[in-house]
Amino acid sequence: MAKPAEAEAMAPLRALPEEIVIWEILVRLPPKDLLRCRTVCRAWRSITSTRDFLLAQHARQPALLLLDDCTNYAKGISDPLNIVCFDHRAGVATPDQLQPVARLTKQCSFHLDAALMRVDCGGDNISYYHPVASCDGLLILCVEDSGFFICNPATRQYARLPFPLGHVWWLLGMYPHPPTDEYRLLLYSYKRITDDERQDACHVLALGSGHPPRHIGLPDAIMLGLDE
Amino acid sequence: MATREAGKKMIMLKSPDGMEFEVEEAVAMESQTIRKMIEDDCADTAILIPNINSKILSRVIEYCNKHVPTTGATGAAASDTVAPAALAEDLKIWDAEFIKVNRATRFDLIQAASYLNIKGLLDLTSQTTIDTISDNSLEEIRSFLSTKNDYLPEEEQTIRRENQWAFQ
Repeated sequence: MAKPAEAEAMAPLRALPEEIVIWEILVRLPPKDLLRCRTVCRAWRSITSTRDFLLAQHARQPALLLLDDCTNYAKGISDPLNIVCFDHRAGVATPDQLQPVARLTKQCSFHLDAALMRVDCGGDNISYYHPVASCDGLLILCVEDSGFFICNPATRQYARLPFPLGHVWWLLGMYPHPPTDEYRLLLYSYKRITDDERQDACHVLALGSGHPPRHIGLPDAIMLGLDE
Repeated sequence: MATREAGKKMIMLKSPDGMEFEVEEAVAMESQTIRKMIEDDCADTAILIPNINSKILSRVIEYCNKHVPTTGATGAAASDTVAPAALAEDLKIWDAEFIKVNRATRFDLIQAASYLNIKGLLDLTSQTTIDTISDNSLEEIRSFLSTKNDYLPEEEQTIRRENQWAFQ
């Protein structure tokens, strides 16, 4: 049937409408290409940072397995442990194709190197860590002795969550809050005043707001199953 | 286009440049936009497809003809003798040939697939563009999608540093 007509090749090139570029092309890009495209122009960076866009892009991404690569641990080398994003679509991957998105070592702080995220904990032994909540592709990791971290495995970005010291914190849940476009954490905390006395409270933390957790009252700790 | 077969409902599609295409209803309904018009009874005799010229519309119909399910409501059972895997492989080869068009035609097909809401065609046409983005430098992406760099050099460097790993 119709072949690309010669007349078409001669016609001046029309650009794709911006709406099509954004909602049909950019939204289908995998995270790495999307991050590169944020450097193309201001308009692309701005639109690809909106919540609607990010959710639409996230919905098109495959669900990838997060693995804890214990190779070194099995060999008796305790440093580091890798958290790996495993793309099962590519079939059986060879070990060198597995790109760590987070790495747990026993050094003393949380920091980022060029290609991967590194969860570093203090102490002689590797601290325990585990994912405690997730929402729209964002993970909350609890790292023993170091607190809570939010991590986006797709962009390899992370941040420590600003919980005031002196309290013991439990994460009860993570949820989107559409009126403010925020993600929020529901938290339970207690603070020991004396050996026999402690102060319990529930809090809401609006992620990215820069504010500390907001006190919302005190439900019954025993009812929540969090009593010591 | 196949000749009219008994029992098959036909739909007339008109392009803005005055061409008319008679297609089976099942083929036209590969487009979710047209399906909705038919289901809502907004389409009695002919449907005018705005903004899509006859050259592009004929290619879209060619795609839908190839991709309309061969079994089911239409009654034809072409897959009785052919294994589904072989059919899928055949479609993949056909798609690869179909999309060997110049950039202007491809952009027109993306817009047509978007307006007509034909998921398979949209996936096919946009994937080629996505591959182009993956394989090219930022400067080439800008020229390919007719976008201008409006960052100051230092701003561009800052954004690069934010996601250094994506540039390696």
